[in-house]
Amino acid sequence: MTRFNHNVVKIDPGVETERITGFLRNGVHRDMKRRGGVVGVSGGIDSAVVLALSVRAFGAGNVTAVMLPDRDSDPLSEQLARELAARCGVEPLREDITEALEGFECYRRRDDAVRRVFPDYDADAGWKFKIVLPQDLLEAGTLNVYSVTAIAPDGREETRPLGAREMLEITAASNLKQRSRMSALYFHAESRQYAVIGTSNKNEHAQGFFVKHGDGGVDIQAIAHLFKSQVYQLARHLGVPPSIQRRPPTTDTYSAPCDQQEFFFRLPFATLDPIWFARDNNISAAEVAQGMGMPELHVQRVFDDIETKQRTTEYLRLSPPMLGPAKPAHASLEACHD
Amino acid sequence: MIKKTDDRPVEAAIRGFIAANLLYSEDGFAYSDDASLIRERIIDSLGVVELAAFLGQRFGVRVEQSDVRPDNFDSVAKLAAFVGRKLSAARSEAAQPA
Repeated sequence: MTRFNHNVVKIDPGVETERITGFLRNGVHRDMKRRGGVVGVSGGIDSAVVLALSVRAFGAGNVTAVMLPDRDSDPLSEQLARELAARCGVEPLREDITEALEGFECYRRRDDAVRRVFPDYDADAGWKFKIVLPQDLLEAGTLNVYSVTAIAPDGREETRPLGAREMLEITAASNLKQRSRMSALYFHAESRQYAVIGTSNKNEHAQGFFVKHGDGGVDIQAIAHLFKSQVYQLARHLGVPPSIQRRPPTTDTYSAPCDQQEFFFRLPFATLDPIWFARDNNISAAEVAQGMGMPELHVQRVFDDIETKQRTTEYLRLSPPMLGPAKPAHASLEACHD
Repeated sequence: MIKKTDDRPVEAAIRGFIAANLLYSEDGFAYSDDASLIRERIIDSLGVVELAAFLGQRFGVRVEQSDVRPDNFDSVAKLAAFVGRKLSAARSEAAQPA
């Protein structure tokens, strides 16, 4: 028997590329009767891979890449997105969503909530903030409780617990960004008879690291079955620029830089993905621990964290429930048979 | 609804809070005190924050981030035991000569 190790998440990128491009063509052309695809490009690895796959599936002339920055976006994101689009032979469109977000009062609503935790917080004076989870999942097994970190213009940084009301308001305001991006992507898709191609990976989709009707609002999911480490394998195969492959995954949502590990996943993908694979394939924590050189308790904590996130975010993946047909009133049923 | 015969005040208060604020239930807390709040999908990250705030307001317990672990928060029984330990530690501290 082969000993369990990190390599369990290795794929054949050539075979997987063919599989995904076939899936996209069938889904978009045959099932949806759409001519091509729109991809929101963020300068990150996931949207880079999806753009490259879409170009292979539909041809560069049938793919639109859209950059959707707002005033909090890192300028590096746009630079990398342009580099990617050039590599794929696509002319990117740029839709700055800042004014739309100001219309929704996204920034004011969000900053009001941050100020209730940090009364000195002043975005206009150069304060920045981010939302983080504790980074001690393996050692302490703490639950997922968010804190807010504020960074003063002089670089002073402080983290405080986030109350329920503030957490809800910051999340609701921040989600306006993803939902505005979704609206812009659908404008470009509908005006070209294209489909919106989703860029969430398995880590994001299955653990609920997406916004319902925001980045989760798409017509087809290209890579939602792939672990993040498998997305990197495809990126190398598809020739995604090394500058994008090297960039640490970021939320690019809050005004302060925030990587996806501190915001949500709490572990490096190189550790998380093989353990998740093991859980999906009923491999015991003991076997994983031995194969990866970790204490069994740590593996169990990762199993538990994955399960907790999947369970508590199930609502995000549900279609709206609806009732079956109404029962006709007796009289109207009789009228039908007359 | 499961009738609670052993209505100790801490457990009863926690059950009541969860039923009203996390389950939105008109039928009370229909689980055993040992039921996993995580596995039963009763608490998520927001629910944990609300529970921590409730413990502070109702029992005067200060909840540190390092306390927010499944062994303290994953059932009514674990929450009640956690409150008991915190209150006992606070009493011992208060009894120490200055």
